[in-house]
Amino acid sequence: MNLPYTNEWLIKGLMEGREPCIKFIYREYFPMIMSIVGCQHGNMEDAEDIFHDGLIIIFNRLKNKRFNLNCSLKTYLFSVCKNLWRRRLERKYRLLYATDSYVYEDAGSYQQEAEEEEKVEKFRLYKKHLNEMPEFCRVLLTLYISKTPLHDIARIMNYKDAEYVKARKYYCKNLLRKKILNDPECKQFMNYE
Amino acid sequence: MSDFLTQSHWIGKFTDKELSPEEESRLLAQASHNPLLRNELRLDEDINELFDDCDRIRLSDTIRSAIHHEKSRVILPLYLKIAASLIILITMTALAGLLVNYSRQNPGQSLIDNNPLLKPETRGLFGFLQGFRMQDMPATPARRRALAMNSKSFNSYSRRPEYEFLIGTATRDVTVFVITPLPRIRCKSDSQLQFSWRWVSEVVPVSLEIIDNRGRLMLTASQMMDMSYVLNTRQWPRGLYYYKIIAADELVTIGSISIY
Repeated sequence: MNLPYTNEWLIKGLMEGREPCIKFIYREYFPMIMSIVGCQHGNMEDAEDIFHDGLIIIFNRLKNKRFNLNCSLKTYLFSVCKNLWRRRLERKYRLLYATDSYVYEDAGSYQQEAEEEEKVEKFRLYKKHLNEMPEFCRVLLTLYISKTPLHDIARIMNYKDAEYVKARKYYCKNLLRKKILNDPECKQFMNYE
Repeated sequence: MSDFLTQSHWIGKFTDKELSPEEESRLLAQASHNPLLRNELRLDEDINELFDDCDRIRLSDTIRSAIHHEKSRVILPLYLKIAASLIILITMTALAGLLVNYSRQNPGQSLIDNNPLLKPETRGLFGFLQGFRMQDMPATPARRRALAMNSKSFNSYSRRPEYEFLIGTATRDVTVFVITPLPRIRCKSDSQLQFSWRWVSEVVPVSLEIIDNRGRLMLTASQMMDMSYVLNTRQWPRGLYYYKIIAADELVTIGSISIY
């Protein structure tokens, strides 16, 4: 059943991370993204990644108070996802696309957008590796990321003190770094030496 | 170099700015010669930067769970929904039709009492088929009648064996022949049934008797000199009846009337 969700409601729901709102966006807008990705050598997983990254990019931009969304969320998501997928293809297949094939959200900020999109992609990959970590590492790093005080983490994880929590945190971050560095998908876009 | 790689917490401490100035300069000196260490330092900073926003991480989790949840939903296409609805509708209609038909044929008894499948009896392999057992077939009309009257399955449509074998036969030496009705007729409960006959030579009084399948006399019209009689079955309960047409104290014919 399609409820008459307004643009404002969707944007507010996206900013607050409300699941019904995200589900609605997925149900209504994902076929559109699937059509973009599907007709250009992409599969379902690619489309899901693009959908995820597109929403995160919009979320990041909406957090910036200077940014003003002056079209519908659907239109904006479409343009973001289309450009994302084009850039990703370009990087993947080293193909050169004509400049007029882009849907410009803002003509003067191409480089800035490319960096932002790369960050979002990195974020997704790092997040994927974080989710694949051993249970204790995942919980510890999640607590650390959510800025839980060290002595609280020690109490929750049943560690003896904050120093031990720190040592475990360094160990887990090291593990995460190793996993990321060994991932060929990460190597593909990271300009590390 | 290997010292820094094995002691991984140095990298974490560097990113968290917890190294002393001496340790920091030592680490940076090592990093200037070691590209792997430089990579790790950059990556650690990247991780710290990207995981700095809890809301973004929460949103990412929500998006993933929403995608997973929506993908696991089974959404039937419209044509399958319509097909399923039609199948259910047809099945329900057929069942309702069977129920109505069955209950009309057995107005006096409840479904369960009359349904051998619902109320099984130990009658052998073909017990569910009423009257199937050949060894129990009565030899005489009296035994047939006794069996029919005592049978649990006796209802308003049960046949009387002693009349059944006479239906359609006509006495030849009587001066009356019956035109209507036919020997076996079926009619609705509110219909008008015409009995008509003709005299062959001399006019004799004709009588009509109607009995139900339990042998009760339902109607008698005696000494009629007309050539027809109209029977209105409006007030008659549904069931099987037998009519006898008698002329000059002699039975002319017997027939059955099934009122439904």
